[in-house]
Amino acid sequence: MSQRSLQLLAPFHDAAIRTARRLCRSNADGDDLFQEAVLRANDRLSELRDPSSFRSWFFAILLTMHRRRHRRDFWRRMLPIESAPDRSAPPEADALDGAQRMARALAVLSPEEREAIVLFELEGFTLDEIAALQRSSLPAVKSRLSRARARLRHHYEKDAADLGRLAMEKNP
Amino acid sequence: MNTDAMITSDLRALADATARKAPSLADTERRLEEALAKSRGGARRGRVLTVAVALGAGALVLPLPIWRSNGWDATLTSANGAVATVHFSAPDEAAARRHALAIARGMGAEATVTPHRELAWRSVYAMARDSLFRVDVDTRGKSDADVEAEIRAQLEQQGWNAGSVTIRRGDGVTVVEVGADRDGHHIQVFEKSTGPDADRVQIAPEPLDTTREPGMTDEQLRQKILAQLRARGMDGDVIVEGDRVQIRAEKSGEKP
Repeated sequence: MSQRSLQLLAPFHDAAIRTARRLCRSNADGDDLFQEAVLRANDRLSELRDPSSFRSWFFAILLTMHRRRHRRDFWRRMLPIESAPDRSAPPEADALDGAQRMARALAVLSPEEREAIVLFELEGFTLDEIAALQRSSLPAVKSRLSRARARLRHHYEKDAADLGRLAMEKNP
Repeated sequence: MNTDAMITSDLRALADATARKAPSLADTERRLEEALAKSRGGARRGRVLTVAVALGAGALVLPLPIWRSNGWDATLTSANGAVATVHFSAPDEAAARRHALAIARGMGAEATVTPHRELAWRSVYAMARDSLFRVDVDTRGKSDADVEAEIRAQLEQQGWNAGSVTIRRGDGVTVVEVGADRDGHHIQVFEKSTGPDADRVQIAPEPLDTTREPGMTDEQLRQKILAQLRARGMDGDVIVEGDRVQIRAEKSGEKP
C-alpha cells in the first residue's frame, strides 16, 4: 500500500467504510468490499490525473466493486449468523433490529437502486454527484431513487402483512 | 408507526450500526499489506484463470470455481433471536416457502427462504453451459398454463427469475418464448419445435461461438465473444490476435 494512497484516502477513510458496510448485508462483508476497493484504487492510482478528485474516483471504484460482487451472487448468500440481532444488549437491541430489517430490505433492490438510496439518504451525496458516480443522467437517478423507495415501501408492507399472518396462525 | 416513518427510523438504525467498531486507517493499512503479500504469493496460481484456445478448438478444460444452485435454505429465527438454517430440496420457490413455513410454525419461528448456492469446480466449457438455463418439458396432455408453470418452476430451481413465458401450439408446431433474469443479466430464448419434437419443449444451452465470420476484424470477433460471456452472466477478458483467441472467463468465487 503506497503512502500516497493512504494520504489521499485518509480524509474519506471512515466515510468510505461506512458506505461499503451500508451497501452490504453485514459489516464484515462491507469491510471486505472496502478492502477490495482500496486494493483496486492502489493498483490504479497512476490513472488518477487530478488528486483533488480522489474522493469521487474512489467512490466510483467502490460502486464498481459492489456491482461486481453482486454479479457473483453476493446478495444470494445468507445473512451471517454473527450479524443476527443480539438480544443480550437491551439498549441497542431495537436499533439493531431496525438495522437488520433495513439491510434485508436493501437486499431486495438492484445494486444501482441500493447505491442510490445509500448515497442519497445516508451519505448525503447530491443527485448530481450520484449521477456522475453511477454514470447516469439526472432523470435516471431520480427515477431510480423513486423506484427504490417504492420497492422498500412494498417490502416493508409485505413483511408487516406476513408477520400479522404468522401471529394470527400462532394465536388464532 | 407508519411505513415511511419506519423506513426512516431503520435507515438511521442502519447508519448507526454500520458506524460502530469500524476499522481505523492503521487497521486498513495493515490488512492491505497482508492482502498484498498474499496476492504476491498467489500470483502464480491466479494465472490458471487464463485459458488460451485456438480458434474453433472449443475445448476449454481448466477447472474454474462457480456458484451453482442446489436446493433451498431456510433461515429460521426464533422469538429469542436464535438463528438456524435448514437445507432441503423442493421443486420450486413456492413449495420451498411452504415447507419452510411448516418447519417454522412448529418452532414458533420466522422463516426466510433463499436458493442454496454452493461453490463447484467446472471446466470453462461446462461453466458456459451451466450459465444458461435449461428447460425440458413434456407437453403431452398438459394445458398451456401447466407447461408455463413447469417452465417457470425449472427456471427458478436453476436460480433464474422467470420473466415472460409464452406458448403457442398448433398444426404440429410448438413455439415457446422464455425470458429470464439472473444477477442483472437478461436472456431471451425463442424455441420452435416441429414434427415429433413438437410434444417437447427443450431449451438447451450452446457453447461459446468463436467462429470468425468473413470480413470480421479481431476487435469485432472479440466483441462477439465478450457479448456471449456477458449473456451468460460471466466476467471476462478476451484477446484476439489473428488465429489466437485467448479467453479469461470468470463466473464467481475465489480464485484457486
